[in-house]
Amino acid sequence: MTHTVTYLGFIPLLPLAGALVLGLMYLSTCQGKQISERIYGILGCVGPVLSFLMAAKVFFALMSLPAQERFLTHKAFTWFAVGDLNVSMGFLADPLSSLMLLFVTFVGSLIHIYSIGYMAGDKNFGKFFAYLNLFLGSMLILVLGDGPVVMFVGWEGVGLCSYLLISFYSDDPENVVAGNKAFIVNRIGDLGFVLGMAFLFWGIGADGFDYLSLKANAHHLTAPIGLTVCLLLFVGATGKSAQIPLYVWLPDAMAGPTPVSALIHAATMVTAGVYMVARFSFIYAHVPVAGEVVAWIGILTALLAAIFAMFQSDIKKILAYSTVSQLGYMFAGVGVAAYSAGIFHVFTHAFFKALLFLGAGSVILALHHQQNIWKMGGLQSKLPITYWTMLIGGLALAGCPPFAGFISKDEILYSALATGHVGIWAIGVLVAGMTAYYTFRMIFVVFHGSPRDQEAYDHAHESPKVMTIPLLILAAGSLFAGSANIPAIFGGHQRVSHWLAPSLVEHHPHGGLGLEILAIGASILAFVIGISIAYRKFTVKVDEPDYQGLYNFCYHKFYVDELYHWVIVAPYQFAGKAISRVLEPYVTDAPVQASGWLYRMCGLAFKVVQVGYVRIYAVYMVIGLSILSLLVSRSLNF
Amino acid sequence: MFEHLISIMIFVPIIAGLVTFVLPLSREAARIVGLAVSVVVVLLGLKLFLSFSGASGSFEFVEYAPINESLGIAYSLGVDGISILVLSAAALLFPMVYLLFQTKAKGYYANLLIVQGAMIGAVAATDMVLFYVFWEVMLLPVFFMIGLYGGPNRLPATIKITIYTIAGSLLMLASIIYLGISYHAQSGEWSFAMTNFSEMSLTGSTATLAFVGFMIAFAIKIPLFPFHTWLPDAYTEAPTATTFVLSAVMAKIGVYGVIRFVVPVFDESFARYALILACSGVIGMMYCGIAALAQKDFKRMLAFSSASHMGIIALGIFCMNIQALTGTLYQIVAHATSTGVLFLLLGIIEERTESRNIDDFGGLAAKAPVFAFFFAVAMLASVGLPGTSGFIGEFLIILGAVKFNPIIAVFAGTTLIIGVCYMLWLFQRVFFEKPSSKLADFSDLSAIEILTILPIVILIVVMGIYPQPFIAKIEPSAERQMAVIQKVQQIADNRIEPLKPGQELKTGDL
Repeated sequence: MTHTVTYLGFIPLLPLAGALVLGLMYLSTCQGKQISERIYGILGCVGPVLSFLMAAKVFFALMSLPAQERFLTHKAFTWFAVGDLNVSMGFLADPLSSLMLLFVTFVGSLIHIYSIGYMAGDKNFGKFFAYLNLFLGSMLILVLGDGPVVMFVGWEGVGLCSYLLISFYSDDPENVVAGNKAFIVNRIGDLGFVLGMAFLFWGIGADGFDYLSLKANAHHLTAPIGLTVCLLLFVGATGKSAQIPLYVWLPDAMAGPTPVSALIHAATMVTAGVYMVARFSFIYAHVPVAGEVVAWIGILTALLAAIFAMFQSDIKKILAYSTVSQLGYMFAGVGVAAYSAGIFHVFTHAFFKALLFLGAGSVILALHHQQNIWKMGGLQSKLPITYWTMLIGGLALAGCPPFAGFISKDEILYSALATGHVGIWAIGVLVAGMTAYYTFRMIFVVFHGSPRDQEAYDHAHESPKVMTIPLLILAAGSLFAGSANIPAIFGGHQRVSHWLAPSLVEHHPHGGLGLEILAIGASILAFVIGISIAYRKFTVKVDEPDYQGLYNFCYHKFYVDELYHWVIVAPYQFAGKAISRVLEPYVTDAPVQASGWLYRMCGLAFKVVQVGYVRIYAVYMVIGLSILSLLVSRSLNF
Repeated sequence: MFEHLISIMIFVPIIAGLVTFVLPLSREAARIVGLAVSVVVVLLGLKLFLSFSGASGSFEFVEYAPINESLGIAYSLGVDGISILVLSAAALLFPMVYLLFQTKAKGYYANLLIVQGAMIGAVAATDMVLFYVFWEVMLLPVFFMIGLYGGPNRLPATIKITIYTIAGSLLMLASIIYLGISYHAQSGEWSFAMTNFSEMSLTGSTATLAFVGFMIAFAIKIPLFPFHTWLPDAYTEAPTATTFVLSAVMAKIGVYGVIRFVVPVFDESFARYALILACSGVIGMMYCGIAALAQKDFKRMLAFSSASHMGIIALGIFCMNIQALTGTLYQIVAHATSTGVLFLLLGIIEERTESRNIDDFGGLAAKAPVFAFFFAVAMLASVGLPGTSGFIGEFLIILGAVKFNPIIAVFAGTTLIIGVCYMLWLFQRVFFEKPSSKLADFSDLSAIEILTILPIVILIVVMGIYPQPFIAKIEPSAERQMAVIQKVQQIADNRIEPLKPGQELKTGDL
């Protein structure tokens, strides 16, 4: 049972229109007198805020319906129809997409507002807001799309914006290279997505290539095709959501402005892969093998990234690896078929990770673009709002009860345990401890102790209200978002899980009270151990470590980037040179060259006889005529 | 008047071109004549495109007049879903060339006029002899434009393209004659009409030879690996307007030729060799795409890029299903617009800085944001980003390729990655990084230049967001075309009863 509502289409359209207007304004004025930042700022925030209000309207509209009828659709137009393939530009708001919609527009609006303060004075202020609007519009298409192809539009759109915003400070080649890397690595994933879509279409897409039709036909999918589709789609997810082996772009993506890191590379875009797996739960649920792969890749990514995060010196890199690690948890969740748990972690993570990034941005701005935590210290008194809000975000990330991150992460770990994935659970607990350690390593080094760079410390001051108010709101979210899905053991009602149920194909495992207590106990223990080690090591005066031995190996992320360079990038470049300098001129083109050469040789041969003297030509004429007359006379004789 | 619309579109430019040759016009006057004629053709082309329905999948705007009744050669024209988009591209893209570039001599404009008329003729001809005539007329001006007005190394480039083209044309001529004779042998009448040829059943080694002859002629024009080696030199040495014509339109006529003539006439041979041809398309895509990465010359890089895309476009024909074929027909125009804009913008850079060396540039985005924006849109269409025209065709082709052969599809899909590798690196070195001294006084596009390019940039976006009106015009014809091939395939797979002796496979059966 679905209901049609036309205003769905406006939700992505509003920020897109904003992007168009801002872009045209910027293009028409960037050479002359610039438009004031105030106008750009206000126009830039209108679209996101209106989208948020409409998202809320959609959410309440769904709530007012009975659970099994919570599907609002809007088919704007037939996008393309060829043979059996029929793709509409259509939108679908169901419990899953409406939840995503709500927090994407909410966090998105806050970050737009924060950016007015953070980007003040930048000469490309207008362009920044145009890109940010374009991003939000694409993200909303991704979430709201009613089928895989429309999702792919948003999927690639956010990838483009990510590229544009990573290389935003484009004077520095390093930033541009980071942007290129993000785009190219994502494209590797996109290849998987496209092929996955193609297999899905040839499997069951002929009777409608949107989620609802596909879900209705999912039982026709044969096992091998189902597995192929799941794995290929997951390749797409590993690209967008930075999982092994395609995680390498996300840390480099920190080259972009910090609000971008918060919005795109923490709260929204990078979670698209998790959303995709949940969206296709009606296929993944039938292919347990694919789920195993997803879960193991996820938890191993969580572990690897947590190791890297423990050794980084750049505050944004710490948070970036932390994001990769948390995304790993989410995949572990959806991998063990606990889709609602995975999505719930997406939801809470958006609050506390956006908060931590925006807090880091506030610190960075206060220290005039210093990002090395070993040049910070004692900032607690200078930046009180930033400190307290980041502390809340840190506790949520580290998994301190009852903060949001604890409840959602525990849900995932419990699901892993209850479905018999003991290995995944054990690694998850270990990573939980590491998370507490690296989070508080960062907070203690930055805010506690004494200043390491006295001059920077003296000039530091708290950020303006336009930045701190979003921090406070997100801090409230980090505190209370978990309450939306309190498990039954604490007397909660798991409202989010129940809300999501109509969109997902999911069986809630019943592990019993004992398992639940075991999971919670282990999580809390890991948190306590992690934070205590950090407390003992980093609240006393410590200086920048010397990068040696194992520390250096971890600091350089096991040299995976270098490995990729020598195994993939360098051979590829070599192939380009080999083709254009050797293969093309001397092999492929050889037959043509040879025919040209033959032609010239014939020319040379004729040159010998065609010397240009009349007397010689007279001789040729005589010879020719005599042969001719000989032939003629012979033929006449017959 | 409109019953002879196509003839007018063919002969107005050709006659104007000949007149320009003969009359002692100044260079500027010739340019104005060219512009005026091209605008007229645009208006007629729009009229044609809008009144073309395509719903039936058969020919519209048909014109027929016998030329030589004893040999069955006729002046017969028509347009259907296979040709409508190629024809529109040939009709609509020319005014920009006259607006944006100054050239050395009036003869250049005369050549441009003739090439346009001949291309429209080649696409609209439904008689094979007529097609061949237009095909040859279309090639001549290209030699002159490269050989007389090209870059410093134009002569080797001209010789190379001449060798290639003549080889192709001779093979095609021989094959056409073979078809005429076969038709006479089978039916007792002389005819060179396309529809008659497609009803013949051709078997035996001679038929295969004729198939190969046709295929090579078109493979050279597309170009299909390994017949592409003329392309980098010709594209690089040709004046930008000519490169534009070659890449945006003429290459597509090669693809069109395969779909129009080879598929229906040689259906069995085609189905048999489709896999090899598909491999050739994919190898060409990868080979040229990887080679593009190593180019230092801006124009040469775009030339390789163009060749790379043509590989994927050609692949769509060989996959033998409706999605891939429609994708190819759509991509013909999508690629014409994106690659066309890229070459035009490059031409503007070259004209202003007198350099094509990528390393000479840098920081252009800050100096010329509108220029950078246009380039970015065309680049994104070229790498197939959804929301631009480039996505629809590429997606349909890859989708169809999965059905045809999943392994081919995986390799074909790497175009997604290969394309962004060279394009982003190019964009970085030209538009980002520190501003280069070469570009110190590079000013942004002028109002005229913006107005000239903007319509195509808008078209790129419109074709990405709302492609269905275009697809509705081409899909029925593509469906008819595929029906023939699918029957042949099913026979090969023994899925339906083989033909009984004496019974022939006819398009009409299906």
